[in-house]
Amino acid sequence: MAQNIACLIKFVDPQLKHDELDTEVHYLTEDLRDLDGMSQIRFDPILEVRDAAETRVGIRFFAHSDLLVSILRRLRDRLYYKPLETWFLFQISDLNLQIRTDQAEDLVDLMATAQSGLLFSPVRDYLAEAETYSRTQGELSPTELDNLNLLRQRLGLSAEQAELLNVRAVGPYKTQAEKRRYFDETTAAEFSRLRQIDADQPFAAKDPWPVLQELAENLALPIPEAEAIYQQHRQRYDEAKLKTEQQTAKTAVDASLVAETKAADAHQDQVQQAREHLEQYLSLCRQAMANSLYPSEFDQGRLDQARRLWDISIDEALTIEIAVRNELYGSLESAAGVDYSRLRDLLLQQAWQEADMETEAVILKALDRDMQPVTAATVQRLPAIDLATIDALWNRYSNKRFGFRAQQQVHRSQQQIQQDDRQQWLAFQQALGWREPPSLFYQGYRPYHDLDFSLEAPLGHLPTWRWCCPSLSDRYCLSLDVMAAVIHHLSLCMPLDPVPTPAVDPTAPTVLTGGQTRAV
Amino acid sequence: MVKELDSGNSFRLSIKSLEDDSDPRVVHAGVQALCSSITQLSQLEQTKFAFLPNPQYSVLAEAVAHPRAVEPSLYAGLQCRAPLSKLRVVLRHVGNWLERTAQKTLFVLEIPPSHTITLQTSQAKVLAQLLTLGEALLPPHEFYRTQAEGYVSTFGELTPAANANLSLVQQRVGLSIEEANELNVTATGPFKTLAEKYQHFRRELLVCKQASDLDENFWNVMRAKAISMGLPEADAQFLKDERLNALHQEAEQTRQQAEAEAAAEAQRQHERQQRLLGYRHQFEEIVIDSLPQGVARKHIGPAGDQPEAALFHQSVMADLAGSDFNRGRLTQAREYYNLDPQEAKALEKTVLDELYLLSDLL
Repeated sequence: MAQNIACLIKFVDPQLKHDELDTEVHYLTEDLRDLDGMSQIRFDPILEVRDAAETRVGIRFFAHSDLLVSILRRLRDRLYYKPLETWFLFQISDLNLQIRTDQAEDLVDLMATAQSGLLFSPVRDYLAEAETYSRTQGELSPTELDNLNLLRQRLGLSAEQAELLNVRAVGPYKTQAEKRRYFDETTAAEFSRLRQIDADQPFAAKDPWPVLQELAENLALPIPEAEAIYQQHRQRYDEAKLKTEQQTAKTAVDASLVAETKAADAHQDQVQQAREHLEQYLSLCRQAMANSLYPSEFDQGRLDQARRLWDISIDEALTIEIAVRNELYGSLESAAGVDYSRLRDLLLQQAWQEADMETEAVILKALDRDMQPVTAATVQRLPAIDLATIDALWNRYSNKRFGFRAQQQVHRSQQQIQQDDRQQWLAFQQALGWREPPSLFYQGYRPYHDLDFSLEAPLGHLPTWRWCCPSLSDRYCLSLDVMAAVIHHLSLCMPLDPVPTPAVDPTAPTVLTGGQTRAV
Repeated sequence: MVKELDSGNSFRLSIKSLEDDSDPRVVHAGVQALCSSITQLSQLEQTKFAFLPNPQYSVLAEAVAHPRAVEPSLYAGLQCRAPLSKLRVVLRHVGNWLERTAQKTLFVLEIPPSHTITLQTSQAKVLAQLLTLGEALLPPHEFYRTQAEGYVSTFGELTPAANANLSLVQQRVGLSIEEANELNVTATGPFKTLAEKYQHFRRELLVCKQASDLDENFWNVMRAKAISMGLPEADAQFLKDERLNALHQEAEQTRQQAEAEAAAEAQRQHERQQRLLGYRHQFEEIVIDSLPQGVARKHIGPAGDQPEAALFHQSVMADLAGSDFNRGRLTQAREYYNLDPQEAKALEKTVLDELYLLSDLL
């Protein structure tokens, strides 16, 4: 469907003189006339007054549209050989296309356009229609496609040509749905890229929206719709980022907590150091008292100096020393406020007789008896703690040979042997070595000074119960009711472990011994 | 995205109403509406417009006729320059506008390198030819490369959105995928991704060992390097600031470390002094505690009875050695302060010297 094109070519190079202009116009006319199909074309000169003379500066002519490509090729070749600044004007239908150049390349794109048919009907008209439709909605509706199909048939285009032109007008994504999907995928990829970058080292943040908006515009996707999609992705991205920042902030808070903990630790260290000093003092005490109940002068000097250096108060030091002494040499605990240290000293020295007399002194002191013998009634007031302390000291220094517990055990064994109460107490005293078997003229009482104050003495021999005796001058004699009261009180204060009962054979016949249970 | 518009990468569009009979105010409003809608397009917010005044409308005459008129002038058209990448979007916008106004209008489109297309129409369908021809005349490679380079100069790489836009351009200008890929490689430069560019640029900046190394001369070289490797100016500046911060921090750390070391040394010295002082104090106490009143008088008596300093020392030390308790204290104190024996002896001598001198006063 050829159409006429009005062409105008004018030399505008200011270097050209009027005679040169005339020559160029001449050769241009000849070159164009030389083209196939151009011999009959009428070339009208364009005249201008130059140097007071009328001069040809160009030509104008009409040519068929199908000759445009060869005309442009010839003009391009001319510019290759002689790059003169020239003004080209092509009037194609409603369009005026002007090119002013001295470069051959500048005509190449126009040649390609002319070759593609885009400049002329029917391609130009069909494409303009398709472009108009797609501009409004961003896609070709079924009605618009029907219209385009009718136009295609009227213009004589093939279906394939029309399809290509539709794609050119609408783009590769034909429907709004496809465009939305593509935009959504691209936006997702954009934010995925941002997340990847965020995960790495810091970077200069840039807003991706302008390019996405550009994409929406290029796709002819409505901007509010595109922005809504973008905002969805943005929100997800911001939320994730916020979470990360909160995590970072939490880490910072944790770090500050660590600092606070450090301060607390420092305080704890001070407390710990004070504790260590006490431990060190304790250790020094043990060392100093390992071989003697009271440290040597030299060790006392060390302890005194250590106490000053480690900033330990005198009270604290005394408490520690007492604790160590008790630990190493036995406790001196007393509920009656009695000082058992002399008893311990005497026992440590194995001065058994003096220890026995000191035992009497401390018991009477505990009972506040002022050297009056203990009666069956008052013995009950002896505090269990004091009894335990005295027993433990005797037990420790006699290697478990002496003490109240040893005496209790002797009594229990006699209980099991003797049936008669009186015989039992006699046997008990004899077992302890406090009395000899009586004879016709001798009751068996031993004077106190005849008792055995050595480790060879019988089990439970010491301490004696001289604190129950009204007089020790001629014999060491204890009344039965006092003995019973003492043993009873001891069994309450320091109960012995129960005697293991032999396993009973249920098949064996029961044997009644006839013995009575006696209370002591 | 395109920072500077020059004639090589932009087009110029002139629009002028040719409706002589229309109300100039209506034309004026139409021109303003078009101007406003173009500036709402992406990256065209800052577009500068030149307005073409209506030649048939005299401001003076209007002012006489309508004394309260406030418009300084009425426009019959406008002219603007925009990036080539916005050609389609702008012309489609103008198409929409023309469809609404339906006024006969002159359109002049100037596109590089030297093309001018002129069209007079009142129909959007005819105007569509301007877009078709305008896009067809664009040099495809040049156009695509310019666009790709624009993205790289902004983002440092071809982001998914940039790639999506480029893909549309590639299809519109009729480039093959291979050609487009080649142009992408050219645009991105030797480093394909922004991460690689950051890595390389960071490494280059490590040459600066202190803030003063990163002076203007060095930075000019680095800026040129950034341009050649396709790293955006904003990113280069970001990395510069990052390096400067790191250098300041390093300097601060070094200073703090030096301070900490000095403080530790001072602390060591202080502790040593404290030990010496502590021992001296303890020794004084031991000596004073060890001197019973009578003995003190013997040693620190009237000046006439004073023994020689050495004898005084010897005598005091003999007294100390004579008492197990004092020996114990001295031993414990020496162990506690863990002093060099010579240091301890020197301190003891000082204390005894002072005591000897004080004996004059007592």
